[in-house]
Amino acid sequence: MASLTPTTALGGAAPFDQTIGAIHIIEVADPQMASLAMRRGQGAAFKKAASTHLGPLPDPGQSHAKGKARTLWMGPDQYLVEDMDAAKLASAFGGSAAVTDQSDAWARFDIGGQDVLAMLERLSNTDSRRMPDGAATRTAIHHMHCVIICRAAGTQFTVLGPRSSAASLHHALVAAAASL
Amino acid sequence: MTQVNRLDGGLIDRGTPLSFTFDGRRLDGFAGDTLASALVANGVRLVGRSFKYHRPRGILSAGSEEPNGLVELRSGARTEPNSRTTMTELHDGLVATSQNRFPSLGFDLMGVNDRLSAFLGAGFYYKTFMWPKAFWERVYEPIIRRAAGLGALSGEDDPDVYDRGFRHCDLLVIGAGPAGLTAALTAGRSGAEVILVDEDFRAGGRLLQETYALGDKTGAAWAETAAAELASMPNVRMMPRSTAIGVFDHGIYGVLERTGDHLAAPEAGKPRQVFWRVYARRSVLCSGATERLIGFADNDRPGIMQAGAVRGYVNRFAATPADRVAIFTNNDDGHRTAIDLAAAGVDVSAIIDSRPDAPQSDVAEVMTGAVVTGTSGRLGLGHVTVGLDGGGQRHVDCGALAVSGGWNPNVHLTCHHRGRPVWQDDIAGFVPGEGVPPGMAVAGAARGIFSTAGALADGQAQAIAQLAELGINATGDSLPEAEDTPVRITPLWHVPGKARAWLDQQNDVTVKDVKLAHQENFRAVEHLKRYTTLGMAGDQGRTSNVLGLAIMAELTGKTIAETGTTIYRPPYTPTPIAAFAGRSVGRDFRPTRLPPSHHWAAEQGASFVEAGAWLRAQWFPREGETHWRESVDREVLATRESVGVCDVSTLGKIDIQGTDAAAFLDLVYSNSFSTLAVGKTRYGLMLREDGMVMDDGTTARLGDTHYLMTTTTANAGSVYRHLEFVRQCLRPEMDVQLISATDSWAQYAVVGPNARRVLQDLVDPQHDISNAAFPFMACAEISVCGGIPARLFRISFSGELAYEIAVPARYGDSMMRALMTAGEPWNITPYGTEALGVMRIEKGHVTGNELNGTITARNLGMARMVSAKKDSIGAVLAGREALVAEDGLSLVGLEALDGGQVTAGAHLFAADGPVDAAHDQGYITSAAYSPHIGASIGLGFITRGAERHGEVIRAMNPLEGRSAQVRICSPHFIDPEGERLRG
Repeated sequence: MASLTPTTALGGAAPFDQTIGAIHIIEVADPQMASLAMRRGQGAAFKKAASTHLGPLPDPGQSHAKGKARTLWMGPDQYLVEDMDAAKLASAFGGSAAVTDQSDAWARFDIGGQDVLAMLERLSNTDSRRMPDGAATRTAIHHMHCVIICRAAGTQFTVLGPRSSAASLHHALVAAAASL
Repeated sequence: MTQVNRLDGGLIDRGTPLSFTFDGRRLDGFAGDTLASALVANGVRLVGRSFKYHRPRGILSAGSEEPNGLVELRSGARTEPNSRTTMTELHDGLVATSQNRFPSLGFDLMGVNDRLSAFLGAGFYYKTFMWPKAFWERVYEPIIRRAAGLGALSGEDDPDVYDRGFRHCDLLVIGAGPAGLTAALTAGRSGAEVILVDEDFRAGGRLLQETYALGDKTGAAWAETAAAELASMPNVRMMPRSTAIGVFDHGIYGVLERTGDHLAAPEAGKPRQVFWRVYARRSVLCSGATERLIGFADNDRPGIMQAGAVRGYVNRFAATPADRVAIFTNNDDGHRTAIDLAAAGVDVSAIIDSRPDAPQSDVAEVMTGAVVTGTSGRLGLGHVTVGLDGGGQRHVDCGALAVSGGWNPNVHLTCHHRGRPVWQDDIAGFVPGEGVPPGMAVAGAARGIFSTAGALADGQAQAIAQLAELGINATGDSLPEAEDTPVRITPLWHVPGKARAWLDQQNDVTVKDVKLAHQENFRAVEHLKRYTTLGMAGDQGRTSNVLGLAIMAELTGKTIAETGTTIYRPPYTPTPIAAFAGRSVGRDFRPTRLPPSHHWAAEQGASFVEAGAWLRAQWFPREGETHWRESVDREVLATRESVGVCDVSTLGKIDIQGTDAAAFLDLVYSNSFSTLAVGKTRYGLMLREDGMVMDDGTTARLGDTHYLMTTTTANAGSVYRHLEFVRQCLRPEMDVQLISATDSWAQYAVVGPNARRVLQDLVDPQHDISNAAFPFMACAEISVCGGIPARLFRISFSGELAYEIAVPARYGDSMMRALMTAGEPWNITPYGTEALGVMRIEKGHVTGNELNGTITARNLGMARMVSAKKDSIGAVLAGREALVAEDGLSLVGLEALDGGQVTAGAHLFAADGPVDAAHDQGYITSAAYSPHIGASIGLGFITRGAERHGEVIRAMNPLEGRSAQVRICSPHFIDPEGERLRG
């Protein structure tokens, strides 16, 4: 029987990795992500499971990490959980949440360097200069629905975008880095 | 050529000489020059020809208000017409060409327009070119357009890139003159996030153009120190070469930054301009003021300039417009020009001051109560005629005339939210009134505070007040001592006379045109503007509007305050469309979505088509195939004969979970989904509230409380939005969660009699996909290729035995290759959207072409799918009388006779009889050549279609002059009983 090998969102066998001026852009090959939405009427159970497995739920524009897993606010009672297996998350929340594996829905690019703020301000209307560590927000980049996560204030960010638009998003990132 | 008019001193860098060409002549200048100042220094007075009358024109100003000194800048694809010489920073090798003249600037044949001026007054074309009517578009308009206008476009693609960006700040300071600098310093020292924008390349505003001292420094030196301090603050961002062009909602300002315009060409990959959207919590507008002229006969002759601009050229650029300069003024400012000229060693021939109480001057004769009544000189000023107080005339020799009619505060940005400026008598100008955009304060000359000391103090005070509203405590440090002279002006708008006196020099509008507008009853300021085109040029009438409405006020006998001013709109200065577009040009106009098999398809040499944002394989040409139809016919036949594979990942996939998921689907679909068994898939029809079909697709029940909905590719976004609307607004009490799963899964249709055999090779052996275990419309979560999670759906769009197999998107590329390998023994054939379309038309399946927003379930022959047993969106209105009429449209198949062609868009008519709207019976929605039937076939809607199978009718396209005989038939051209897909 055939065996299947994964490709990155950009379609390569290995993740894309490039330094442009003072910017480093790296594609993260196999992000692990799951959407987490509270079931109506299950608030108490949902919060209990969250506090056990994910820690306090983040406010809008924020994320919270517990261990490896990081929870990002996405909408009212809706979250995106990074680096936790979707099946494990679903069993942790039982009937109190709807969980959908989103690992293959996103392209993830980590961008860093001393000019990263100047690069981001050419892409998104997010005030990335005021994002503290762990801040996370939904935004639009060149008409693509994206999420920006601040890993280290002022220097290191993650941009998530739709996997099918990975090439367009990547083009936008590279063009913005090159225009500085 | 030597710079004949170059003086000593100035803020130019004589250590960096630059050379440039104007109309092919090589000229020299220095770093720190603008193109205008370099032309002035080189004694070039004639710079262009005017818009309508082709009058010789020269440089009038030293700023962004310039109406005359417009050139074509650069060459080749980078040629930019109507570039303001005053805003063009000189660089080495700069190429400038004069505009709107033939054959040359000195001798322009179209100058004849000036002789015909009696016939070319305001609105002449409304009156002159009335007959014959058909001539307007084809003859008159092209002639007028050729004769009028300014520069020409290169017609080539712009080789440069432009960026867009977003910046945030506590305080945006617009303008880096004395008020702007103190505002920015005050805010910067308080720790606030500050952005300081200025359209000049050097901070200082008028401080650079005047000789005043600020404390113990010159104005320019003080500005330099202030700019250096601001540049050293991490919380302050200085944006030189940047113009705030508009104020939009919620404190958003449009700022155009010219990052590469001062270079011969931008560095590779770097933008020429960046259009910034600045989000400012508060702003201080320190945009200064613009000096206006006075209307007098032939006041547009090259060499006539704003008096303040003359000071600017002399003091900042060390260039005099001529070696003898006369002054014409109605206020004290003209005298400043005389003093500065004299100090620079330039001969001032006379100060013509219209005020009876004009002050005397140490540097030149003052003609008190006198006015300029005319000018002369070929292609440039030679002398002016002065009408003396009490009668009599005098000629005054001069190569330039510096005119000051007073100053207009630059209130433009305060009007962008419909603010109305108010008249202030003591300065004879409009100042910001009610309706200044929220969050904006105005400081300095922009609100009529014209003294340097006043501007410094006001900038500081406004910044402190603005920051206080944000809870930021700023303090007012001591300011340098500066001039604080009051404004002394006696308004003079125009000198009466018979000859033409220019107001708007860019659009060639004269005092006479205003009189004509008054005579013809276009008296309201907005009518005056549109009738005469006063203020409608690229400079938005910065030097002319107030003059025009002052003259209208005179004519109507009203005050200027009563007359009011026209509204200003963005952009403040001309802004290239390219800057608004940013990177969204050409292929990058919008993002592209690539399906998971894209790279594999590209390797196969597929032809691609844009489907919404997706790039989909259209067909896969093989060697020897010369026409797309050959490829498509082959793909269809091979699929129906054995097996084909197609990437269908683009279909929208929506994951629906919750205890109310079934009830939710019953509401949004016209047919029932609560009755669907787990492990089964059902076709669903989704209606709009008005009963028309919105979308269709299959929905699978993966668990008791878990469904997966499929939408058409085109409607994936709108269906998701609709579902969210229902969930959040119509049924917020329901326990339903939605999330898009479109990008998560790579999904392939494996189609044809051998489809199961191919899949059996890949599906892990514990999953039985035999016909008995996995019948038509079954679905299951399975695994493939040794444990890779997958979803399998037995659904068919083609009418064949077919499956859709989905794997996580990361395995999409690999899965396609695995399918091709597994299918090799069965001659598996990849097919694209064209073959997909042919097969669905052959099967009679509808798609977006049929679901065009005017079609009901009944039109589709699916009336029974609107369940009467439950409520669903659209069910009630689908029952409207007209929608259930017996003679309504119904879906039919159409087959062309005698080798003819069925074409989508054609309308259907009886076999004979008239072809007109009254006899229109329906229309064709989809068409294809069917290799299976061997004829051109299609789908369409026709009145009472279901009863008319077999009837021969006509398909007519009067627009393209096409007609064909077609036979009505069942829309199911193949396997109407559905035996194949159940096999």
